[in-house]
Formats: sequence, C-alpha cells, structure tokens
Amino acid sequence: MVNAVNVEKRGTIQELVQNNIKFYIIIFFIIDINMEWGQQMRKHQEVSNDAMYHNTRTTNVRQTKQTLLVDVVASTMTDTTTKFNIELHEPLIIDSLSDIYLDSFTTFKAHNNTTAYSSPIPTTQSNQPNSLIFFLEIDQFNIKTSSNDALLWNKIIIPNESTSVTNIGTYVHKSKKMNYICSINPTILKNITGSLMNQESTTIMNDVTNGRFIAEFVIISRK
Amino acid sequence: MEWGQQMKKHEIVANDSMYQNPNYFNNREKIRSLILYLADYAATSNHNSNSMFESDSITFSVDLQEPLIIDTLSDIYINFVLTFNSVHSEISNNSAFIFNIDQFNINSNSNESNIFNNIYIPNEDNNSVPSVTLHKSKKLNYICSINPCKITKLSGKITLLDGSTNIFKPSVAISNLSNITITTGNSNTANSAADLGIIEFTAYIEFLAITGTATAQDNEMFAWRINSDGTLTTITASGPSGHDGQGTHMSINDDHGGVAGAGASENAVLQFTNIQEGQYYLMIGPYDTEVGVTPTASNSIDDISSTHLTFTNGWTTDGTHLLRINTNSGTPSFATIGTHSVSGEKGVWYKFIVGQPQNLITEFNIIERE
Repeated sequence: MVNAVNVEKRGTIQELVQNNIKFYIIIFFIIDINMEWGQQMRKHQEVSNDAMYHNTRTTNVRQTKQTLLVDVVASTMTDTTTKFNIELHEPLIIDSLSDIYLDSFTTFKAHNNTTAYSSPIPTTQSNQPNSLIFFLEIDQFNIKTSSNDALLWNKIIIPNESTSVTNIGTYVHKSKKMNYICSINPTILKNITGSLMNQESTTIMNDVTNGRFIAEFVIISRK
Repeated sequence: MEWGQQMKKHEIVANDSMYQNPNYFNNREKIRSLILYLADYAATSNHNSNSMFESDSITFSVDLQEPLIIDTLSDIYINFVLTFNSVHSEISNNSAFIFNIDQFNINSNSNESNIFNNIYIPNEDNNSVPSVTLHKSKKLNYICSINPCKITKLSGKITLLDGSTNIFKPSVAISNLSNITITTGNSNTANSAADLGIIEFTAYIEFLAITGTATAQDNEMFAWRINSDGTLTTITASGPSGHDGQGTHMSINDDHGGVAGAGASENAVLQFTNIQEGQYYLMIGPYDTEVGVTPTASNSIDDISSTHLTFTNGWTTDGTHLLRINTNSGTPSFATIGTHSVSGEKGVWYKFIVGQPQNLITEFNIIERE
C-alpha cells in the first residue's frame, strides 16, 4: 500500500517536473526564437530611450498619420529667394516618435534641370547644370543623410524634373522611390523655417515673385 | 512554427549574434540615406575633387563627410539614379549600366559575367543630345544587405554592359569625322543641322570653308554657341585679326576656295584658340548672307535661323562645299566634311558639341532589418 502511494507520489512529482521542464522549454523557445541576446539588450535600450522622450501630454491614439503642407511663394522668401519662414495655422502636435516622408514636391516657375552655372568653373564649361537637384532644408527636422559632397550632407535632395525650356509651368518632382526624410521626437511645431537651393546655393526660382513650391510631408507615428 | 522553421530561426539568431555591433546603437533612426554625387574630372571645377570621377570617368573613390555607422543588419535600397549626358540607349551595349560599390557586398547572380555581383541599372536615356535622365525603372530597388560596420569612403565603378566603357556620351576623335558626307537640303535650317556629335577639341579649333576645287566662291560663314537651354551665349574667341569674331556670333565674309588638305590657304577661316565647351552651330551661306537684326542672349538658335538671317543670294551653281575642321595650330590635324550644295539653296547648317559635363547622382536608403 505504502509502496503504491509512493509510486503514485513519485509519478505525480515526475509529472510535475516534466510539465515544468516543458514549460521552461516553451518559455526558453519563445525568448530564444524571437530574440537573441543582442536583440533583447537593444530592445531594452530602445524602450528606455522611448521612455526618455515620452510625451507628457495627451496622446491621440486614433490618428497615427498627419499631413504637413508647406506652401511657399517666392516673393515671401528671403536671402535672395532661398530661405523661408512660414507659420502654421494651428500648432502641429507630434505626440510620439514618428517618421517623416515626403509625399509630393511641386514647383511653379522653377529653373529647369539643365540651367547652367552662372559662373562656370572652368570658364569654358558653360553648360554645367546647377539645377540637377534641389536641396531642401527644414530646421525643425533632424535630417541625417550621408554624402561625399558637403552641399548634399544632411539635406533633403529632390531630383529636378522640370524640363521647361522657358522655365515656366508646374512640375511635380516624384522620382524618389522611398521618400523617407527623418524621424522626429514628440514635439509641437508652430513655424516651419528652412531653405531651398540649387547646386550653386542660389535660388531655384526662375520667377522670384510668382514662383512657388509646395512640399507635402506625411508624419507617421512609429508603432 | 514547424521544425524546419525553428531550425532556420536558430541559425538566423546565431548569425545575428556573431555580427553583433559592439558599439552604441541608434535606436531612433531606422532608415539612413546615403547620397553619392559625382561630376566629371577637372583640375579646377565648380565641384570639389571629392565629388569627381577619376579621369577615366568610370572609377571613383570619395570620402564621406562623416563616417556612416551601420549599427545593425540592414538592407540597402537604391532610391534614384540621375545622370547628365549619359549615353543614348539605342544600342544593346548601352541598354543598361553596371554599377559596383566596393563597400557593398552585392550578390547578384547572372549568366553574364559582367553583370554578376553588380548592380544593374536599366538606361532610360533616350535623348541623342545631352540631357538629364532619371533612371527609375527598377521596381524593388533592393541592392544588398549589410552587416554592422562603419563606412568612411565610397569607391567603385560604373560602366556600360561591356564592363569597360564609361556611361557618358563619347567624344568623337577628329580623325573619325573625315568620312562624313552631308547633302544639302537636309540641313537648310538650324533645327535640321547636320549633327557632327561631340568632337574632341583640346586646344584649338579652326573652321575653313573651301570648295574643294580651284574655283573660289565668295560665301559667308557664321558660328554660334548656345547654352543648355537653347539661348545664345558669348564666344570669346582669340584667333588672328579678322577671323576671331566675338559676341553672340562669329562671322567671316570672304572667299571660299582652294582645295582640301593641309595646303588649303583661303581666307574664310574662323578660329577658336580658347576652347569653350557647349553646343555650337555653324552655317556656311551664299554671298551677302547677313545676320540682319543683332541677336541678344535671349534669342535661340531657331530665332536666328528663322528670323535674323537674311539671304540675298542662293548658291549660284551646284557644287561641293567643304568644311575643314582643324584641331592643331601647328601641323594641321583635320577632318574635311563634304557638303553638296544645290543651285538656289541657301546655307548649310552643322551642329556639334565641344566637351560635356558628366554627372551621376544617386541615393541609397539603408533600412534596418526588424
């Protein structure tokens, strides 16, 4: 009888231990399969960083995407039509770590993409284009790009698709495939300031009064 | 997860551990942009030497403004490729570019050895004249994956499909022009000018209009240089007095005669000893052809052809008019281009390009793998 009880107990203990081992193996597999050690450490670092930049205000969890339209007329630009400063109609609240994408970029009366340098060097090279690409800088965005050329470094570059011989008309410059600009920490934006230039660091506008550009950004909250 | 998937996951995890970055991580930026800007090689330029191809226009080696730190296994995608003055894709060898960057571990497979382990970029330049082209026909744009590393420079090369020719419109050596024969009637206006292509001039250009026979004809010769937008630009010539017209056009009104060859010694000569790159137009016209209204810098070459030129006479007889292009001020090194003129017709137009800027701009996105 005693033996029978002992055997039964032993069986129960064995079962318990086996079940526990299965449980630990399952846990081990869940952790091990989904993340190796380095990834786990990185996740911890990421979580602590996220905590540091937490928004102290209310968060809009229903709206994960926001659109920002920057519409600038050349006559309002300063520094020989290269810099702009616009005030948003209402503050743009970014309440969590987000990624910014350039959705569209439209110009009106901008120089075409074969416009030559005003002071070519060497002087014989009169047809070296200075408007192959536009450089857009926005002070409120922490743009981090790498490049071999100092002019392109930490700027948004937009290939110029304007082929208008007379430098008039509207062109949508949409040759970029990815359109990623940068990430942004929670913040409130009231003004957008920055610059838009060509390779010669001069204005892209052919008409410095009626010229215009419209940049549309989409700000997507990171999950 | 079934057994095979689990094993695969284990392998990935083990590999990820092996290539772990021992430095700090940037957890905020999941995507990085890397922009490569290259221009043609020149001793002095609007571009600094760190933005230039080597003199072969194929290879490059440039330093980044600051080291690019890739802190985790990432995938590289090409965002766009922009070229200026790339070759016309009309022949099979020009139909794509082969691009290689030494710092990227590109593992593409192919039956063609030149393409193997390189980036393939379909050439979308369909222009015979130098122009800006965006090559954006790739759909997925995936280039390769990259392990954590620090990149301080980019080096590599870009060629046509043969793996050895640069991707830019080639210059034609003067010796290769000698067999061109143009029949008048195809080239009576600027927009139908006979296209001589990009000609290799390095120090000296001389144009000499001759009949190719002993009979001289009193004709005119004009030259214009235009900007990339089609408007006129100044020629600052520095030839001998009377043959060095400057301003928005050059002209010479003198006898066209003599014979082809080094011994030709006629007066209808235009000389450029200060080589200026650009698109040139040249017209040989009958006697008393004039640029009636002084053109301005806003005029296009079509304005000159259709409005400003006045022709008093047509060609008086059928005959041959030759344009001799000389590129050496000492011993003439020349090509003679034949033009058959027909009685009553007015003017023969040529166009050619001297030098061309070369530009390649591309952007890569480096996206951290989840």
